[in-house]
Amino acid sequence: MSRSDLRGAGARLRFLGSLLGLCFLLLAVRAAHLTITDPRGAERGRAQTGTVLRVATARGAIVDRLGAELAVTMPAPSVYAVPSEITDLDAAAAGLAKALGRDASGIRKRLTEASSFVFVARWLPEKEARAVEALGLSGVGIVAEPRRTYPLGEMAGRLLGFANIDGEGIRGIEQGEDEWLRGQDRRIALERDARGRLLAPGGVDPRATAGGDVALTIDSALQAETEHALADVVKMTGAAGGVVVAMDPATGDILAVAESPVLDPASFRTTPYPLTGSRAFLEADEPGSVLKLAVVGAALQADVLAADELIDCEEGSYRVPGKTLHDAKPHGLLDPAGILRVSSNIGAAKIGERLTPERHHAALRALGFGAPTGSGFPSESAGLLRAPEGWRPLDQATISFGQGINVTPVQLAAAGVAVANGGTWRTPRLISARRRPGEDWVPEPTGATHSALSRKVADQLREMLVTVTQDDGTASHATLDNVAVAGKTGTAQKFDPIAGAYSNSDYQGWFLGMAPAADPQVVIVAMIDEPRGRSHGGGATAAPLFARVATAALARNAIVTTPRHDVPAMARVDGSEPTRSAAVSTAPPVEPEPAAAPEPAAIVETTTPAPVVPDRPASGNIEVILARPEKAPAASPSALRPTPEISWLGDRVLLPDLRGLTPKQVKEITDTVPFSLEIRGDGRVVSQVPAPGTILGVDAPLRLTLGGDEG
Amino acid sequence: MPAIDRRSLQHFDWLLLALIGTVLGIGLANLYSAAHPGTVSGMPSEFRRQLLALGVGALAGTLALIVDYRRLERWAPAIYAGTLLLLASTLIFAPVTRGNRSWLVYGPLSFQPAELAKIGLIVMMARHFQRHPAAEVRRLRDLILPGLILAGPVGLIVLQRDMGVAVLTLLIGTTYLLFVRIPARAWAVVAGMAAAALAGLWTFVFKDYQRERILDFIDPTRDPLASGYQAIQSRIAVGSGGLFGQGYLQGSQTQLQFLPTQHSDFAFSVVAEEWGFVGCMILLGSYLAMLLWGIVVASNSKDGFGAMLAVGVVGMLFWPAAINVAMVLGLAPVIGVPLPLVSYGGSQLLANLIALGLLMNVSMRRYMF
Repeated sequence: MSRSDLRGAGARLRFLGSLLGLCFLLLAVRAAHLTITDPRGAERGRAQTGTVLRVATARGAIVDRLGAELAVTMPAPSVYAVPSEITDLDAAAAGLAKALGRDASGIRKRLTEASSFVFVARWLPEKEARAVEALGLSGVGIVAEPRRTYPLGEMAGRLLGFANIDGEGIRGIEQGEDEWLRGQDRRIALERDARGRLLAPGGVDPRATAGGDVALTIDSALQAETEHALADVVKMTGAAGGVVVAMDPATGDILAVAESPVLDPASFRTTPYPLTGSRAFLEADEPGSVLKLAVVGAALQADVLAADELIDCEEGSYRVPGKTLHDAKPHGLLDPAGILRVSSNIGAAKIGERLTPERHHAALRALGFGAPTGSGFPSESAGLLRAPEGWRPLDQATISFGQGINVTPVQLAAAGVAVANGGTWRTPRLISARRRPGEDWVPEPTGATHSALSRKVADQLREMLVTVTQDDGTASHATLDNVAVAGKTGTAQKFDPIAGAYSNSDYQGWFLGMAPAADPQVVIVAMIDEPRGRSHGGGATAAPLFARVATAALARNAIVTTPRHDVPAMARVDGSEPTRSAAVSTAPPVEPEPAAAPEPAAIVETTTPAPVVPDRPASGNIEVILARPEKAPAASPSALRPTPEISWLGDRVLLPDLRGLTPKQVKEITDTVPFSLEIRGDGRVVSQVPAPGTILGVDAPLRLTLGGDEG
Repeated sequence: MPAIDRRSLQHFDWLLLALIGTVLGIGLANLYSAAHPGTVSGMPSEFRRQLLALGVGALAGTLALIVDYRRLERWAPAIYAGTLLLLASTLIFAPVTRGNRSWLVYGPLSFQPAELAKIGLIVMMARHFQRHPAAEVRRLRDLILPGLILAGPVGLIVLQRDMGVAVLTLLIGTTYLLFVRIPARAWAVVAGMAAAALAGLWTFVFKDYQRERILDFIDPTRDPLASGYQAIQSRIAVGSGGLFGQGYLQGSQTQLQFLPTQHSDFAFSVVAEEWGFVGCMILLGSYLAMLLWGIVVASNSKDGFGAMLAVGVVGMLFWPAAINVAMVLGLAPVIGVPLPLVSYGGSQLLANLIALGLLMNVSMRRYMF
């Protein structure tokens, strides 16, 4: 063997190499043409994937702050048809009608639609889907579609809103968080394969992603109790509806939003869209005298009012350009606390006069009125606060006592938060955390804050507002056992748009309150719309509602208390005496209700006769707090918590807060619900597993730890 | 002579190994995406089977480079005969699948002897041109013997009714014609005979569906839902790639499974859709570099057997690669030819890794004289 064997082979090999290179160059040019310069491939590809069926992926869950499910998505079978693929139309229509228990002519109409793809029936029971499958019809198939369900039914329904049949959120949180909850749609190719068959829509699109989950700041246990209390008061007072908003003043968290009438998100298709909104966020009304706390706060902040000065309330009649103002009862000299306590319109108007309209307006803006709060609820109302340039003296006077200004319940609650926490306005928070599919919860940052009042003014204001809930104040029905309440009532005549005047029959009773007054743990706005009892003021309707909700809310922080009063008989439509519900069974006997006299036209307030000069200092009644949040309720010396009521959710139970209960009370509960109970220790319940607000089956394990030395 | 000594290890061809590794790596990553059904998380079963075949192929390829290739010259007739026997056995034992008898099946394992027959063919061809150097072939009658060597496997494959592989094997054999010195006049005669043969094939051998495929190639839209479907879908997938592609595992045509055989014969369309023109160039560039390096190995070889063996390996990889890519890009009819080292398929992977082992064998022994 020698090199000579390869004579000339070198040249031939180079030739072979060039040939290979040329071939690959040709392929490269062709590849460049197809991938880059020739748009037809990409266009046809888009057209091809454009004819795919888009199916929404599983929408993310909405849970409460403890993880209880408020809105979840379950797959439900839907029957679709490809009309062009149906071979025997009559047989198909008849078969489907039988399997689905529906009218054959309607189905036949669907099957003849000039569309490449139609849904015949959506969200079917498993049994019907199997019956359709068993028909084995060509051109008819079943695809699993996600279906939104709301396990707690109508609870928090107006807050949650709803998603439509295509999985788009169109109200409430479902709308506001739609982008987060939705994820990427799943696409299923409907193209034919080489044999001319439709490709089975079972393939999964890797680009489809499930939606993320959202945790609300809502505490569903408190939400349930709040809704229960609201429904009760609305029924007792014969009212058209009502709203309650509870917020945590330390964080701005919205803990509960109860509305009446309720809305079951599942019934969105049968409810007219305009009736599905949330009043708490979307509707602004005149709050009446509640707003007096804003003018007093603004004047104190501007240093044009001293906490101890006396203002002449003109014995009930005061002339401002264009109108003579009246009070419900004539008053002489009152200090600012007294003006709030008896709710003097003249006093409030005279305090307002001390502020320039600009200053007054700026103070109201600082408290969050006149702009959406930024809670994240979609299309939130800004309320109505006119620019100060147009304020006449009468306008400023009426704004001082809450007429000519419209606020939403959430705006009012946020203003209350600023008074409660020492002057800081906080953006109301609805979302506490978010979670992407398969990842951990990430806490949602808190919203913007700003200083609305100085700490000194906020504290002074709360001290004054405590007097409102004293026996001679307008809100004595808001009082709680052993816990001081600061708050302000309001009664607004509704404006009748047809008559163009304030109505003499339709009122709204308001109450903004916070407790414990020295260091509020909760701020609550209660509004009762069109109460029908003889007494329709905020003091008789909204204040007792506040007391019930506050009792439940404070229990979250291990502050044990009970309302002192129920809705008074004068405010009830059935004329019945106030009876102690289970929730207030251990409270002292009912005290005589304050008289709630009919009000003069235009300016309405429920008042009680009050001395002209304050008969006791405004402070000194505040420091009555039974237990700090970190302490076990067992340490409370005297209060025996009422046995909480059990809220049934279908065949499951919303676990109440059992902390602070005696073993006897626990037994009362387990007599009703056969939890498999495990108890450790002696005394009262110190901790419970699972946590309050958890939704349990009736035989779920429940572990209680008891402590303290009481039995 | 020891099977392998330090000197040959010193000349181990790392570049060749790197090029093979690159192409194999692209192929595996691409198979993972193409076979990804979307529904099932975890490894697609095709991917696992391919990994297994890769292990077996790597072992066989290593064996092929350990034994000094000059011994193979002596063993060539035995190897050739062995592969022919294996091929012939399919005519008796292989079940008829998709119209042909090309697969030997044993339990879960199946094997295509035609792939191994290519090894026998190039080893036997190299032996022939070692003894009768191509540079001295000046008359057509000198091609009778190599023609017979080629006719063995091609004939058996035709009997299996596997036309794609038969044509491919024929093309591998004709690679050697580049090195013979036969005058143009003689080629005219060959061309005439080839035309006659083609006409004969068209009329007497090709089945209707094969004729359909060729007509479809000429006009893929004549029946978009039947045999032209793959060609159209392939062009759509490639055309959806653009410059940088839609991203790995993100090709909509691929992942929505518009192309039924995307993991095997149409693997290159997945590369094009998910990695775009840039991805195509990286794969084709790696391929071309590997083949050109094979030619360098051939020209550096100290003997005719080594040179012709290297040329055989280059031909064995080049023809299916070029035809497959041309088919995906709509430049050739849809015939069942996999893309070597990239498409799903254990038999081609095993045979091609053995062939590359032989190339490595020649390369690392270029200084052994």
